[in-house]
Amino acid sequence: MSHTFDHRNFMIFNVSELDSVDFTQVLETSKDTVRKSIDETKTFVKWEGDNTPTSVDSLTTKEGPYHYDEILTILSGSEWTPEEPEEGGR
Amino acid sequence: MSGTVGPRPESIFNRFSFDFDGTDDYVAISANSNLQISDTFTISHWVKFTSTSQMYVSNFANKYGTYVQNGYAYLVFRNLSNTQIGLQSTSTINDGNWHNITAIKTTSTMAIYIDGILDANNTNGATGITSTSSNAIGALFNGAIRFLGNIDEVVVWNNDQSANASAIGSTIPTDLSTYSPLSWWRMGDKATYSNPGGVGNWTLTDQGSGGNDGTSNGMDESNRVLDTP
Repeated sequence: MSHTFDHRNFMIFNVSELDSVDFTQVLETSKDTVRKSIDETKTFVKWEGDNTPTSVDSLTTKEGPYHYDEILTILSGSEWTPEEPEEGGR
Repeated sequence: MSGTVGPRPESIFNRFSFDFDGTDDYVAISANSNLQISDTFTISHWVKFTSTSQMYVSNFANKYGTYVQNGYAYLVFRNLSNTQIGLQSTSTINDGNWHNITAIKTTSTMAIYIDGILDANNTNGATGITSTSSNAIGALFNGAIRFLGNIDEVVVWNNDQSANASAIGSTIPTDLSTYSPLSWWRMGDKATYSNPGGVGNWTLTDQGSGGNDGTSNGMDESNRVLDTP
């Protein structure tokens, strides 16, 4: 690919803490557009650079931060990705 | 004007693509009745990727779109029984180079052109079911099954563009306004970032007639790259 996203950092946390995130500090747009785990109990946000946003650092269920290559490995696991291909309509 | 003609004058016209990180990057497009197409449509886009995972390139009204998996390109839609009907390309394109996918569905046929050449077709086309769901580039309508790689020049027509498929996909992207697209997202080109130097999002202005502007999610200025077909 043209470049990697090595400057991005990612924090996984419980969906129950989404309201504690200041979405002006992270790249995700809102709590309504974040990606969730298959069981919808976990989510993550990402930011640029080494400094963890204050609202993310304050989360009590946080796991990370993870680098880009680490989060790709995590997201490819069964907790985040369906084992069977998904169809494009419901 | 005399002198040397540049090798790719069109590169001025198409400077950027979007590089999707495969975690939660995608472009959301609000629901609009003009994208709820039941009969005939054409989708075209350029992609560059290496993954074998299932990754959506485009999804409209959650009833039709394109994805890649194991390197193959797929065209899918849902018929009036809400059953998904698909067509798989015969070629794989996950070689890390740019490829054009032009996918066409009519009420009787389906076809996939790769780089302007007919690659696969069948007679499974039919009238499709519609919905009022939103639309997405680089993911399903709800942001799932995200794309990892580059996407450029995403176009939708509400008609059959098979007569122009070769011209659309066999060379570098051209000025598609010639073919009067319903919606045309230039990706990095004709896009504006809300907060230069900070956290923001991209607005992709529809260059077709449909008025279907897109808004990025999970993306910042680093997603726009000088990498084009």
